[in-house]
Amino acid sequence: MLVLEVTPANKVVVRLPRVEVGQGVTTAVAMMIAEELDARLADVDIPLADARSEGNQFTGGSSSDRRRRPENPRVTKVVMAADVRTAVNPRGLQAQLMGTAVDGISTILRAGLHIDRGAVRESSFADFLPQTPSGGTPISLRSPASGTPRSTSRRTSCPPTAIPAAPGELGVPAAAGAVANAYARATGTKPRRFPLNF
Amino acid sequence: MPSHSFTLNGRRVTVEAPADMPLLWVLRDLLNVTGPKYGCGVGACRACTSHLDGDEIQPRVVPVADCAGREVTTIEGLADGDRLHPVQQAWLDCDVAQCGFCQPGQIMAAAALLKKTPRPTDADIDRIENVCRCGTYSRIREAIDKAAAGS
Ligand code: FES
Repeated sequence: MLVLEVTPANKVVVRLPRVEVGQGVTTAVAMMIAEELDARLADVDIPLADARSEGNQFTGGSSSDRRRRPENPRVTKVVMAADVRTAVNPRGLQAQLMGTAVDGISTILRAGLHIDRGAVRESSFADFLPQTPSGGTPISLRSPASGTPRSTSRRTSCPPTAIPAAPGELGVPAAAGAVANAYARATGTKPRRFPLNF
Repeated sequence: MPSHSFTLNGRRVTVEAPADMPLLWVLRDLLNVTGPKYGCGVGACRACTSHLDGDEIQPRVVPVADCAGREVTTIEGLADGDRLHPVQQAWLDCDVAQCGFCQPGQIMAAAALLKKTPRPTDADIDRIENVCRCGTYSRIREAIDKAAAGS
């Protein structure tokens, strides 16, 4: 049994029934807990639990991450940062980055074309399955885009005097790579063929 | 050529057109109402989304003859005079549009959803299938939630 304790000083403590021998399991678990609770990593403390009679005190390096191959993987949160030097239109920049994230997610998860005996099977948007709000793949993006312009300027790094750079497709390869890596981390399997839901 | 009369954005109109001409052609080419956009031509991208008697339709796949005597509303007729529809206002407040091409359809789909389901869940919003090439989906969700909260 795992007990997650939030102390009066707002620290999160989880006694982990694993053995830390340099495999980094306490860091990995702390990161996941911080992520899930929206807590600061520094506030999550993972001491090792006392030995237990049921004998599950393994190193846990391989099982501390969820190992599974989900049927319908989805992205639940995206955090983006971009340095475009000067953000001429911060809200527009955020919007463009969100769009590129959506594109990156689509490319990895489900937007692909089938070739049947030399012909492309998909005829239009309806079967090509780009990322849409529907289709069981909801996304809640927390990019520099969400929140007020104030919080944005904190989260995007834009020195005010530099010549603006074009954000265009900036986020697509980064988002695609991040989604593929997240899938590899979550499942323990490095995907080599895309899209994953094909 | 048969003639068809219907109400368009509160105004009675009569057009002469083949009975099976898609409403989208009638709106855009004969009546010069270009808010409903022509995207895919098969009712899949939903950029043309408008309302027929208050329900969502894709004018590209509705023959004009089916509209006789009924009420067609396009994005041009959504506002109440100078007062924007709450969905339009939320769209402006959330700065949803990027290139804008899909947006009339998105707004009409959202307005139809909120009419039927004033407090939509995430799953209800998921059922909107309008495609946005620019990927404005998260702001679309934000704007629908805002419009729902305000009404
Ligand atoms: S805003 Fe460009 S397609 Fe939706």
